[in-house]
Amino acid sequence: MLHYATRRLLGLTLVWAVALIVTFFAVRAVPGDPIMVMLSDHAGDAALEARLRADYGLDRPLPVQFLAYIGDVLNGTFGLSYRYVGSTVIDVIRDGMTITPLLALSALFIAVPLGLFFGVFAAVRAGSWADTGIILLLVTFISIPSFALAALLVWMLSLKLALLPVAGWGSPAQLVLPVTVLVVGPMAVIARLTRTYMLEVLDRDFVRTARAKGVRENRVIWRHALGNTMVPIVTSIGLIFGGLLSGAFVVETVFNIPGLGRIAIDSVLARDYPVTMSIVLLFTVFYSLINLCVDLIYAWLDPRIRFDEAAA
Amino acid sequence: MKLLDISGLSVSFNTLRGPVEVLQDVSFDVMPGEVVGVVGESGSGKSVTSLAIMGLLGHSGKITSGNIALSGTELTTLSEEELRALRGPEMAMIFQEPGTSLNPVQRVGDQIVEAMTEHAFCPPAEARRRAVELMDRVGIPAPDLRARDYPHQLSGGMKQRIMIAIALACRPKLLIADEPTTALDVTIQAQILNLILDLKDEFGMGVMLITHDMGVVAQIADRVVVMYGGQVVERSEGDALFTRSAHPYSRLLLRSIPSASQRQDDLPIIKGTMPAAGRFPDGCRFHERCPMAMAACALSVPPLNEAGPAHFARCFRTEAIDELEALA
Repeated sequence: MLHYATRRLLGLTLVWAVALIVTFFAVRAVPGDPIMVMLSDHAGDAALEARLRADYGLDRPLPVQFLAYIGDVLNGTFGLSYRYVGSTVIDVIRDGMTITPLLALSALFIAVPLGLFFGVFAAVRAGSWADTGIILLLVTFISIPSFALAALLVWMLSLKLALLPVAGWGSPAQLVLPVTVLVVGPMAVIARLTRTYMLEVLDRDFVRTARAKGVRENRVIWRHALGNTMVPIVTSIGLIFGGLLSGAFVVETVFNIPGLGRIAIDSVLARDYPVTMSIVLLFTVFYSLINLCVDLIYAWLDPRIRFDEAAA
Repeated sequence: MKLLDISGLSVSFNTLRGPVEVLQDVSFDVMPGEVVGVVGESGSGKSVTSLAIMGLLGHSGKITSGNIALSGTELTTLSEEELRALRGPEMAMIFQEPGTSLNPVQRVGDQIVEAMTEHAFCPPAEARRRAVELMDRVGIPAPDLRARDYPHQLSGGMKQRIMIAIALACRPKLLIADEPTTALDVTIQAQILNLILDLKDEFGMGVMLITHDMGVVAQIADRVVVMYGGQVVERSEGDALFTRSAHPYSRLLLRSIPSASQRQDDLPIIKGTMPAAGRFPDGCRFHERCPMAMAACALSVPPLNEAGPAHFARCFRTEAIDELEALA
């Protein structure tokens, strides 16, 4: 198990190295000279231009710039922002780095239990009115785009009923709407998957065995049946987490939350490429780490998955 | 007192095309300490009968008439929770497919322990000790180590031994074994059957052994019930069914047992296949495949007639049964 985790971590560093190379060259490949953008009115001031190029290290050959970039990533500054002259990238994104994972993880920790609950609830009542009602609701939740849902909730709960703040960040009340918007879609996806897998598992022989030995129905469902649907569900949770990270882009913009998503969008609009690419890098690392966790959870959920044999 | 007394049991399943009757007027009983063999082809209603007894017909299956009494307790009127309390301590079941009948993500020891703790049969610590004892008793070597294994680490025969240990955990009075050896290697089959017989004597259980293997029944059953098309077609005590079978279907089934001492060019077969539930012909359900059928057989259902002491057959032509040899 430890052996497997180490092996996977080594594999991940390779993924991260590729991400590092791609982000570096992508910044250099985009059309437009950032120094000319910075100079704007002062264009033609050759002395200032040369000084700026030297400050940003853009006067050196590409391999040297690349090594410097690696150094910047390793020392945690991620280089200099083009937009906020004199600031490093880390200064620009530091506050956002705690906000977005907080949003995504809290949404995940709400969506998973709710999704499992509704999925199981519907599956054990398959074919009934309650089941049909839940399916309809879930399809609605999956179909509605998050920006539309956000607008609807703000209109209803903030404007009409004045229960919650319209936007902003800092108080617990300001967390409610953005997290709700983030939760709804993934929750519905998990619930639908859970229902499907549960219906399949409830027909399996070992569920009949559990009932035949007099196990209480609640335990049959939540322990024996749900326990055997967890591997595919956890797989999809890993994928859904990617959706939560990108969902944060929309939600942070709509609710004016200073998270990585909004900083990313602002930096794209302002052509602050070092910031954009650092955020891409961070999301890559975050997403790959979550999926590593998912793979490690497999072993714990299903004893048939033998990591050490796979490694041999 | 009878351990299990089934009388006039009929069961229907709801399908998209309306209810389909899969069991009709099934009656037989099991006395304490005896083995009753229930024989028939796939789809004859053997397994449905056992699920009806266990109360495991599910949402779509329903007992439409008849009674099932277990040690005098009427089961058909019990609530789901009352039935659950009986599954394990009073009646237990082992299934055809040991490979898929165990929970793949739970240690086998825990699956035996659970059978006891769910009924508060004994304290958890004692259940754990008893589980290892049971594994030892059903012939699993190094049981204390094997208890920590998951099902995929055990062979088919070992898994069926675990299933037997689970079934016996609360010392049930009735054991239903639904084709317990069908999925196993021939050499393992005899071991498992002998184990069930030994445990029957040791625990004083009644055993309802469901099988399609006439040979097995001939060896070990005290009484035999032959089912066809959801009905009991013949029922007898001891060897009567094997020496003087009174129903053409049973006779033909017996003839289809291959014999090692006798060279046969062709294995005898019963022509045709059993119709699916809901598509049984009028009259005797076997008449379309029966070499002895006459016009009356297609008109009305024959009753279970007495064919000898404690021997019943559902056939109009029982008197003339010996003509079968000449016909088929």
